[in-house]
Amino acid sequence: MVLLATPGSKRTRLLQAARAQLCLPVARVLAWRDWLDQPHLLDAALDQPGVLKIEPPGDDPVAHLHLLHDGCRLLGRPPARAPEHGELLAMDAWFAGFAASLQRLSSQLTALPWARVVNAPDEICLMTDKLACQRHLAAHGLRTPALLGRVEGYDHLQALLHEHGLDRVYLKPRYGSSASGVVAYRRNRAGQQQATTTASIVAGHGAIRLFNVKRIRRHEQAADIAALVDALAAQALYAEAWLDKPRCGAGHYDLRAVAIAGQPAHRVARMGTQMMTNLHLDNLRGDTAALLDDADMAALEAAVRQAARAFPASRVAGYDMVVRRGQAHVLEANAFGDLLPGLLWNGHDTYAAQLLALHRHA
Amino acid sequence: MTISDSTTTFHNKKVVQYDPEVALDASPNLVYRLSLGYDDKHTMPDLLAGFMEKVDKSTLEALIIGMWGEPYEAGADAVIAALASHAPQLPKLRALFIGDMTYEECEISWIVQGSYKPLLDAFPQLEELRIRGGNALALDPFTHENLRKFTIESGGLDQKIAWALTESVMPRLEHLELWLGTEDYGFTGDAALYQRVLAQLATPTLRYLGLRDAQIADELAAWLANEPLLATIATLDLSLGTLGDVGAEALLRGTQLGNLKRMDLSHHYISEANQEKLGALPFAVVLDDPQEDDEDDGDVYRYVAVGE
Repeated sequence: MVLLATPGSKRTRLLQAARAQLCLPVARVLAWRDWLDQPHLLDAALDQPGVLKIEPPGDDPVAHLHLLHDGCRLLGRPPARAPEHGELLAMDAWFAGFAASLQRLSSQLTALPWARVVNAPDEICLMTDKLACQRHLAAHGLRTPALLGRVEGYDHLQALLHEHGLDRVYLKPRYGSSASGVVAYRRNRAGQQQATTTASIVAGHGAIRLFNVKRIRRHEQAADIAALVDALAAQALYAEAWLDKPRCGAGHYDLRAVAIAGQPAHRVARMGTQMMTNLHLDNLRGDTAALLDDADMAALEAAVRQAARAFPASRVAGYDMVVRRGQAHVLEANAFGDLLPGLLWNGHDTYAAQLLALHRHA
Repeated sequence: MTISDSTTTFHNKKVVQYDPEVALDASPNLVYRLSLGYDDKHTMPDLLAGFMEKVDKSTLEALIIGMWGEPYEAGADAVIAALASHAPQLPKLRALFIGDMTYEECEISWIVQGSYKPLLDAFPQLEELRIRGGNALALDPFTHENLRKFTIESGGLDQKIAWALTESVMPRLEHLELWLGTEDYGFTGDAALYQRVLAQLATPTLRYLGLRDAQIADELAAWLANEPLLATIATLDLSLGTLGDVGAEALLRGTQLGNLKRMDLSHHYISEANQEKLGALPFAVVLDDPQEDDEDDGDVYRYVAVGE
């Protein structure tokens, strides 16, 4: 097995640990930055039948900057500076570079017919474009939150809310990962509004910069919210209806379920009192078996199977869902959604389970 | 994240979400929460009427009302009127919680509350009333013979509520809990006003006094440390507010805290040295969730836990 990954990253370590546990040889790791500079290294790594797993390039700032510069070139922009730690910078350009790299990878793999991939590059690309992914899922019959489409800025957002008759939406960077830059926005007819977000806005030196923070912030002044939305929109932003999540104690939960080889496997509730339930934001894991009744669990599993059919060339994917009253809505698909350390299904973590499935389907 | 006990249990009963599609569980250890989603078509009075048809009204002891329609648009008065209309058939109802909504469902300062005199008049046997939301909350001075626990949770409590309490009578009161909040969300008043509230409502049975989520926590502490009416109180709760060293040092010098069993100061801005001294007091002092000053251009900001 070959990993296109960041050596030493958490994902790499967890996969290697699972291989050791299953008495499989250590996977060969090809660093994203090295492949970007010297694509032939992949031909050498995959010179005999084997499996390639593509992990995200984002753990390595050098690879990230490489993709960002590629994207700027493709979009005819001057090269972006290196983002600071946690900075959200030119996400649209990064995606252009990432998409192009996945296209090159795809062509390279056609010349290596003996190599299998865990997730095919074109499907990784589709899942990373969150807006296209939601449209793709909806086209395949899955329930998703109503999509309001691209948001060009704060004024456009207000027009969209008016047009759709909505007062509560989630704004998501089209090419963001996890909760980065996500804004829960609500307003009321008394004229109040509120934006809750992991994005922090820093003004200075004539430019507005965005940073991802772990402490969720709230904004209530129109000017602050407009500056935030405009800055995020400049990097590509879309809006979707805000779904009611089921309640648990003083908070709410949504679900992350992992599909492995098309079947629902690991699943966990993400419980929190904030609008973002991502597990790195001080939220709690909850036991789905205790929270979901039979109808909800059946809806969850059916939706995972159906979503997996929409991505037939992805053997491992994570789906974020709201399941309530026997209905499952998919919030997001994640081609790299298996980073759930310690979460077991049938006694195996996500990494061991996918290795076993690969082995079964060899 | 903390999940507060107040929303998993109420009136010593486990909270269960009411689902009109599912048969009711008649266990006396459960309390139902009636609540609507944003995508629901029916109204809270309809949901309540449907619940009343199914439940054994002669034995119902407690009820929770959560999201009613669009609680930031429509106030609680329609809900209160609907509850009052069912009151004659609810001889055992002892506990009500009106406005059990999470931050995600509705920002506490956006909840439009209602006028509570009609509710208190309709349920003279009520022993526990919990209200969440101070916006548009109206309370005329009242006398209620049976209330033991009285709670208002708010991000900013208007002084007119406190003034109404200075003219109200609850002779059996055991638990008085008020969330004062901040000026940004409508708090008005001062420690002297709450001194008058306590002077009016302190009964020989009062065991718990909570003045929580208060921007004026330091001023409250300075007064309470030397308040003789604390003699009967077992628990003093100044949590969720902006208590700092000024309040902490007043409490350390306090002359009237000798009968306390517990003092809850969670969510505080107290220095470690003073935390240590407080920890040495001869009763339990809860100092969870320490906060740090937020400094911006030399100005120091402190935030209450709920309301910002």
